[in-house]
Parts: sequence; C-alpha cells; structure tokens
Amino acid sequence: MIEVVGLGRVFQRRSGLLRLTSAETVAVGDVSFEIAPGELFGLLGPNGAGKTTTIKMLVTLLLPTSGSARVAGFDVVASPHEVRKRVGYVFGGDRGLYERLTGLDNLRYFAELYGVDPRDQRARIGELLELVGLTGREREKVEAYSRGMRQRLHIARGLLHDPPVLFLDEPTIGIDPVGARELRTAITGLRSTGKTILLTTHYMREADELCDRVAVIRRGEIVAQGTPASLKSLTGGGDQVLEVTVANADAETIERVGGLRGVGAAWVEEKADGPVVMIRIEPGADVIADVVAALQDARIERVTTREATLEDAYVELVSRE
Amino acid sequence: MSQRPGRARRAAAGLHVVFVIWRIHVKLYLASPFEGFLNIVWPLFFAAMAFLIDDATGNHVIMRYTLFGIAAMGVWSSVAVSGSSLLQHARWGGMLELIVAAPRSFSLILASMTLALETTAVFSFAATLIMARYLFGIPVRIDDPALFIVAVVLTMIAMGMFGFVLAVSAVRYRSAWVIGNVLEYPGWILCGFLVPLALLPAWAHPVSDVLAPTWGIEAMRAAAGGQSPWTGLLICGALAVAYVCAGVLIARAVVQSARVHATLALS
Repeated sequence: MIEVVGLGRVFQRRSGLLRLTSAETVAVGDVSFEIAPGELFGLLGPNGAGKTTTIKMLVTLLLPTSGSARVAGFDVVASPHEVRKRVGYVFGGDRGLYERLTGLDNLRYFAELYGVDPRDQRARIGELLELVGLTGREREKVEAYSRGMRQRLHIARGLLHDPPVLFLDEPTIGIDPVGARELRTAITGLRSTGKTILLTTHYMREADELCDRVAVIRRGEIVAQGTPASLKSLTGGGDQVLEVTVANADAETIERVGGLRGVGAAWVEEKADGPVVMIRIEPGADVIADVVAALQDARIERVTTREATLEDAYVELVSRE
Repeated sequence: MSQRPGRARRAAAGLHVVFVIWRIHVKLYLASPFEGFLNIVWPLFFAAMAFLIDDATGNHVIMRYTLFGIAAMGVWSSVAVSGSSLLQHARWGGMLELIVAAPRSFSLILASMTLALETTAVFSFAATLIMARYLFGIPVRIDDPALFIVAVVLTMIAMGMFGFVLAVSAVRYRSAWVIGNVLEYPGWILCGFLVPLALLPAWAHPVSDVLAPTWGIEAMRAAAGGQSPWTGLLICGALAVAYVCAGVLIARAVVQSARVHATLALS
C-alpha cells in the first residue's frame, strides 16, 4: 500500500540580502520501507530525525529531492491529486482546527474539502463522532474541548473521506494518560477496519502495543526495521536490563561498564530520582558484581533488573554513533 | 449529451463547496469579537470622514461623488489587508497544509474564503452609508437602486477575486501578507474613491485601469446619478474574470513551488 524507495529531502536555506549565503540541511537522507495493506507501521525516532518530513512527502505536502514513493498505487510526485483522495493526515497538537467553530462545523467544512458527497455527509459525520467518542459534544466550540477531544476530532477529520491510508503524526503528544489510552483504542479500532496506518510516536510502549512493524529513523536514515519483537532481539531480545540508580555518572565510567564481559550495551537515562545507568545484560551472563565494582565511584543508590523493552532497543539504536 | 449530466453534477458540487466554505468562514468571522468591534468602528470612522468632508465643503455634488468611494474604502482595506494575511493566519493555525493536502481545488477553496471575507466587508459598505445618512444626516440619493445593487454586488465579487490573487502569493512567500498593508492607502487613491482619477498623474492611470474597484465605483456613481453604469459594470466584470484566471494559474504555480521550497508550514 505504501512503497518508499531511497526517499530523501534536502532543505536549502538562504540568508543575507546583499551577500546571499546558502546552507543545506539533509532532513531525510535515504529512507526505504514498505507497508502492506491493513498494516499498522510505526516510524520511531528522536526529534529532528525526519519522521514528519517523511510523512509530509508521502501526503504530497513536500516534494522529495531524491528517491520515490507510491501511496495506494500512485506516485506522490506525479499524481498528488490521486494520492490526496486516498490518504488522511492527522497531526498532534492544538493546531489544524477552527477553534471558534463547533466540532460539527469543523467536520462539515473538511467534508467539503475532502469531497464527501453532500448527501452522505450527515451520516458519515455521525459515524465518525461515534467512532471517536464525541457524540453529544459536536455542537460545542472546539476552544472548549480538552486536548484529547481535539485529537479525536482530528482523527475524525482525517477519516471523513474514508481513506484507505491514514498518516498519524504523533497523535498522542501532550495528551493525558486516559486520553492517550482512549486514542489508542480508537487507533486499534481503525486497524480492525482494514486501514493502512503509518504512525509516528515518541512513546515506545504505544508503538509496542499498536504496531505490527516499526522502523527506527535516525538523522534521516532508517537504522532498523521489523516487528517490535524482532527489534528487541536485534539489540539482544530476551535480555535482562540492569538499572543502577547512581549519584553521578561520567562518560568514562559508562564506557568502562559498556566494555565489561557479558554487557551488551550501557547508557545513562536521567530520571526523577537521578541518573540511572541502564545496562543490557547478554543472555546467561552474570555481571552484577562486575558492574557494581565498576560503578563504585558513582555512589550506587539502587539496583534493579527487568526484561528488555522496545524502548531499550530504541534508545540503543538512536544512541549508536 | 452524456457528458452534460456529469458536468452539471460537477458544477453543482463546485457551487456546494463554495457555499459551504463561504458560510463557514462568514460564521468564523462573525464569531470573532474583535472582528465584530472593527465592523462597527470602521464604518463609523468612514461615515465621520464623509461628514467632515460634507461639513467642510458644504457641496452636495462633491459629497455625492465621494460618499460611495468612502463607503468602499473599508471594503478595499478588508481586501488588501485581510485578504493578503488570510493564508498567513491559516499557516499559523496549521490549516494551510490541510487545505493544500485536500483533494478539492485549492483555488476553489481560497476563492470561497476570500468571498466570505468580502461578505463581511459588504456590511462595512452598507453600515457606512446608513451611519452617514442617519447619524450624520448626509443625504444618500440613489436614482436607480436595482442597477446600483448590481454594481455593488459585482464590485464586491471583483474585489474578492482581487483579494484571492493577493492571498495566493502568501502560499509561497511567508512575508507576502505585507503586500496588503502596502496597498491599502495607495488603493484608496488609485481606485478613485476620494478624488477623481483625472487629478492623478498620467502614469497612475494604467494602474487605476486594471483595478476593478475603479470601474465598480464608477458604475455605482453612474447608477446612483441615474446614468448608464454598463461600461463600468462590464469592465469590472471582465477584470473579475481576469483576476480569477490569473489567481488559478498563480495558485497552481505557487503551490508547486511551496512543495519544493517547503513554505506551507510555519518553519
């Protein structure tokens, strides 16, 4: 349903009035992936990795500077109009809705923009309000909506023309846990209706729960892709992770820990109760004593072990030099 | 023969799009307390200006010439300033990308938005005349009301289409909205709202000639004075069509260019 081959986008920035200077920024270098019909595919990566730029090329808002992409059988450069008829684009945050209008007026407006037959609009809007749980609230102005409600309205907007492909760009950003859970339920519901979905998110638990496959993008290039389980195994699936809360941790110490026998990788995460050294232990290895010895100067406060998660795999993948 | 129902259906669908977008945008403008405040203050300001001219000259012939021009000044300001900043607001609100990414014609959507803007500006035109008449006691004489209304409606549509051309440029250039501010006051003079075009230097005449309000206001004055407004109406209508054609062509080019240069979003 989506085929992306060597897609790239370079931004040129010009500045100066008399002496024009030009600088190039590679937002997306060389991205390739395929998404099958009905699949929910996650594109994961840190801020500035190129996720949104990739999506914008796929929904025809940006022209690629290299490579090619086809969505629902149509080339995004040669047939943008055909692509637009077949995709829904939903992004996170507060923008993209008319605040002073009601939710219903917003949906009516976009129903026209997306070419929904006027005779079908009322029924379609009713169905979507039901799907996203906004029935009964549609006559309130959007400015009175909570962020979660706005996001669900965004999803309803993106689905008005019943597109087979849906792009969700960080849809749960800034939403409280209850709202995010409701939204995840709505996304799961969409997958069950056969929609092909490309989702970007910063929340690994969300990606693990929702996505059939994920790709990790770093500095404009895909560094790994596969099922969440295969990604975990790529970085040592089934491994244990040792979490050591310390008072301080310098780079040299972490490097020393990372080089210990039986340690797959080591990195530091800043948490509420201080820096935590995360150590992925290879299967069967017993490294706790060596790690404790290596971190003696870092003043250990707590040591816990747990199963490796997608987040561990993600952090390791995006942190690799 | 078999294509006719298809064409008719497409035309009806197109009109429905224009109507719905127009209606929702009018609703949007009316929902803004600030816009509402301006809709009262601006006509009051222009009506007061008419009163001061009337009071200073004591000449009803001059007043009759300038009154409709003064009423149209608010409409021009709305076209120039609001029209050119229309898409900048859409960009700030994250709507521009959604409008461009929609399957409907971008030109059709934008033209409907500028028409909605014009509709609220018509209120300014009417309110100025009403305030001038009933608040300041300035006589408003219209000999041929039917043709006068035709002239007003056509001028408003033509101005809306001029606003469409101005608005389109903001798709590609984020700072293009300042064009409207630059055009606001010169437009009042160049369209002959306040002073006869004959008083302007020769180089300004071609510029005035390609501005539809010049001809629209001439048609209004002719209809109000019992003369034939048809020359003004025809040229105003022809310029409106020319603006639409130019706007559609420019829109295609700038949307493509915006996709190349990534100017649809804020950053």
